[in-house]
Amino acid sequence: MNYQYVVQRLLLALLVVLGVTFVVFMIMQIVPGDPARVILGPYASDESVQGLRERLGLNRPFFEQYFRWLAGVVQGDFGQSLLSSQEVAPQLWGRIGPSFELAMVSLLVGLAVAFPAGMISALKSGSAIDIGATVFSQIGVSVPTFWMGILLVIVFSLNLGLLPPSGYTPITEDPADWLSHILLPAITAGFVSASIMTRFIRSAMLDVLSANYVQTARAKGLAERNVIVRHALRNALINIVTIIGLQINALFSGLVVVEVVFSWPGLGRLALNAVLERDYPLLQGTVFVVAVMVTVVNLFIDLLYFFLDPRIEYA
Amino acid sequence: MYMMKKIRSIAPVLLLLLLLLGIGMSTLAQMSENVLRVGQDAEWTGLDPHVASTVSSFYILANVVESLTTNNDAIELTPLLATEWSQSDDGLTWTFHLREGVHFSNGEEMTAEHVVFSMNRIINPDTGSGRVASVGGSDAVWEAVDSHTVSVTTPAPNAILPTQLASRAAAVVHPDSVDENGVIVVPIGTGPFVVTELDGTISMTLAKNEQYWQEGLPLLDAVEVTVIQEDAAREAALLGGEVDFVTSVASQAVQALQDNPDVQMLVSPALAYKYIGLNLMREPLNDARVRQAIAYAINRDDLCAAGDFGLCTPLYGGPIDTGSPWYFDYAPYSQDLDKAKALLAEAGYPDGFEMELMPTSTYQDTVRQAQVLQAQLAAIGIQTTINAPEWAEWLELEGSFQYDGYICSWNGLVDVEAYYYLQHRTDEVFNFTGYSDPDFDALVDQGRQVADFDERYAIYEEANRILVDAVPYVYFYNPAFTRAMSPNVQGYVLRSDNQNLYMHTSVEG
Repeated sequence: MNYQYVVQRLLLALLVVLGVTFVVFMIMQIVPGDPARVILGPYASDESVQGLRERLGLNRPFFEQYFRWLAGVVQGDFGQSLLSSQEVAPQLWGRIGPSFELAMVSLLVGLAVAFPAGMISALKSGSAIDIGATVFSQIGVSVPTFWMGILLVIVFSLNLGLLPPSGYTPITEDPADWLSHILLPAITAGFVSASIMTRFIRSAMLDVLSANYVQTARAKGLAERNVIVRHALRNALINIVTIIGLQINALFSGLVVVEVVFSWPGLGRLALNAVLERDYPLLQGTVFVVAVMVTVVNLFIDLLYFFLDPRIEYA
Repeated sequence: MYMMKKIRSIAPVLLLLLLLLGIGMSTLAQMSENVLRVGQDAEWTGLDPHVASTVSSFYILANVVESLTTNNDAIELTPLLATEWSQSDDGLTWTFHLREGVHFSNGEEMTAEHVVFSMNRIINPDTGSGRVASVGGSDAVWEAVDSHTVSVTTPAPNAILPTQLASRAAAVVHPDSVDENGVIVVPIGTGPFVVTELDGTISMTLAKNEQYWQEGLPLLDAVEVTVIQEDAAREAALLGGEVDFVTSVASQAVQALQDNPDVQMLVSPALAYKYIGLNLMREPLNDARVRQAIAYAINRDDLCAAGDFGLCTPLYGGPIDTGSPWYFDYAPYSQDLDKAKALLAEAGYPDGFEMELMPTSTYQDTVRQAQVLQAQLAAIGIQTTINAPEWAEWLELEGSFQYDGYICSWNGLVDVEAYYYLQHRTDEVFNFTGYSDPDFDALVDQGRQVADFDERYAIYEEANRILVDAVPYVYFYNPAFTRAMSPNVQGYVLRSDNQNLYMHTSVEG
C-alpha cells in the first residue's frame, strides 16, 4: 500500500474538516437569531440581552470568535454550551457511540434487504420480482423518514407492544435491551438506504452480467453459480462499495430526523437542537465530529478499493 | 458427537432464556426502588435559575431550588424559605425572616448572606438575568440584617414584592454553584432533589436531597428524567411502561388517553393565554378602531379548535378567565362581522388592507392559529400573509418590532400585575407592541403600591377596561396544561401555574 497517499489523504481531510467548520460558523452568524435571546426567552429586556451577549463573548468580532474556538479545539477544549453552560466535549464523546451504532445497524438492515433484492432483480431482470423490487425502492425513496418512524412506533410499540418506542441502553450494559431499542430506528433509517442501494446493486450487476468476460466464463462451461459469484459479483463490488460509502455518509446526515423521532441520544439530535437554539460551540463541536467521521469513512472506502481491485493505484 | 450437536441446537434457546432472565431481573430491580421515570417533552435549556427562561428548565429547577416565598397548589401566596415578612411604614423597605435549620444540598446552612448573594447576582447586569424586575428592580438594595433576616429597599414603594418573589427564578442558591466563568451549570439549592447523572440536556436523575428541611419529604428516592420530544413516541413510552409519567400530551390525544383505564390523565386550566400582539408603530394598526375590528372579526372557538383541539376557554375581553379572583367582567368582543366592517370603514379602510401574521414554526399551534386567522380576517377584507420563522429568528423580529402581528402565549402568570404591567406600560421591558397610554400607566403604577385586595381590584378593573378597548393584544383563549401517568403514580398535583413538583409524588410497587 502506498503510505504517502494515505498521508496526503489525511492532510486533505484535515483541510476539509476545517473548511466545513468555518463555513458552518459563518452561516450561523449570517442567519438571523441570537442565542442570548433564545436563552432569555421572548420577554427579555434589551439590557439583559446585551449583558448576556457580553458574558457569552457573542459581541466579539466574527474571526476572533472562530479562531478562539479553533485554538481551543487544538488544545482539546471544545468550549461550553451557550445554553446549558456544560462542557461540549463530554457531550460529544457520549453521542458518538450511539450515532455510530445506529448508522452501522441501519446499514446492515439496508444491506440485508438491498443485497438479495438487487441481485435477484438483476438476475431475473424483467420478472415479477424485479418489478416488485423497483416498486419497493420507489416507495422507499418517496416515504418521508419522519412519517415512517412515527408509523413504526404506532404499529410496533403502541398497537403490538413488541418494541420500545424510544430510549437507548448501552450495548455493554444489556445487549438484548440495546437490540430492542435500536431495531425501530435502524429499520426506519435502513429503509431508505435499502431502496437506494437495491437500485444501485441491480444496475451494477446488470452492467457486469452483459460484459464480455461473463459471456466467456459462461462459454467455457463454468457453473452459473461460479459465474455470478467469482466473475460478475467480484467486479460489481467496486461500484457497490462506492454506493455503500455514499450511503454511510447519507446515513449520518439522515440520522437527525430518526434520532429526534426515537429520542436516540446521538449526534444528529444534538446538532438539530444546537442549530435551533443557535448554540454555536455545541454545533461547531458536533459538525467537527461528524466531519471527521465522514472523512474517515471515505478514506476507509478508498483504501478498500486496493483490496477489491489490485489494479488500482494511487499516485 | 451427538451430545455436541444437541447442545449446539439448544444453545440459542438457552441464550434467549438467559437474556430474558436478565431483562426480568433488571425490571425487578427497577420496581423495588421508589423511582419515578419521567418522559419530559422538551430539553432543558440550562439549569441556571437566574437566567433560564424555558418551561422545560423550570420543570427540573422547581425541584432543586427554592425561593423566599411561593404559591401553594391553590395558587395562594405562602412562606417557603422566608417564614414571615413585613413592609416599613414608608413602603420602601421589606424585611424577610428566614426559616431556621434549612440546609443546602452540600450540607451548609442557609443564611441571610446566601439570600443577599443570590438576589445581587440577579440584579448584576453581568449575569444577564431577565428577572431583575421581580426582585425589586435594578436599584433595589438587599442587605443582611442578621444571620436569618434580610431587608430590601426600593426607590419607590412596592406593595407586591413578596408576590413577585414567589418564583423559582428568584431562587436562593449557594455561591459554590457559580463557576469561575460566573455561570451556574448545576445549582446547589435547598430543594427536595439534587441533580445527578446529568447527560447533556437529554437525561438526568434527580436524587433525593437527604438534607431536605421538610420532614419526610420527598417521598421518592429518585426521579429519572428522559427527554422524549416526539408526541407519539412519548405517548407510546407511557403506554408501553418505559416511563411512568409524561409532562405533556398532544391535545389531540387527550380524549383517547382519558378513556384508557391504564392511564391517569390530568387536565388543568392554565394561568396562561394565547394572543396576537399588534404593532402599534405601524399603519393602519396604530388606529384603535382597526385593532378593535380585528378583535370583533375573529372566532375564538375556531382558533381554539385549531390551536389546542378545543382544550381551552375563549377570552372575549381581557386575559384572565372566570376561575381567577382577578377576573374582570368586561367581555365586549363576541364575533360580530358587521361591527368589524363598520369600524374598518370608520377608520378609512372600507375595503380592508394587507398585513403579515407572524407565528413561529417551532410552535405549530401558532401556525395553525395563523391559518385560521387568515380566513377569518379575509371575511372583513383584511388580506394576510403568513411568515413563520423558527423560534430564534422569531425572537429577534419580535424584539426589534419587525412585524405586523405576532402570535404567541404568556405562561405561568399568577398575580394580576403580571398580566398588565410589564407587557403594556409605556416602554416597559416586555412591551413589544409600542402601546402607550398615560392613564393606563398611572393605574398600573398605583396598583404596585397598594396591598389591599379590593382597592387593587378596582384599580386593575379600570386598567383592564382601558387595555381591552385599546387592543394592543387580541386575546384568543386560556389553554390547558396536561400530564399523563400510569395508575400507580400517586400524589402529583397538576397546578394551573404549571409548577412541576415531584416532592409529594410516589410510585406504588
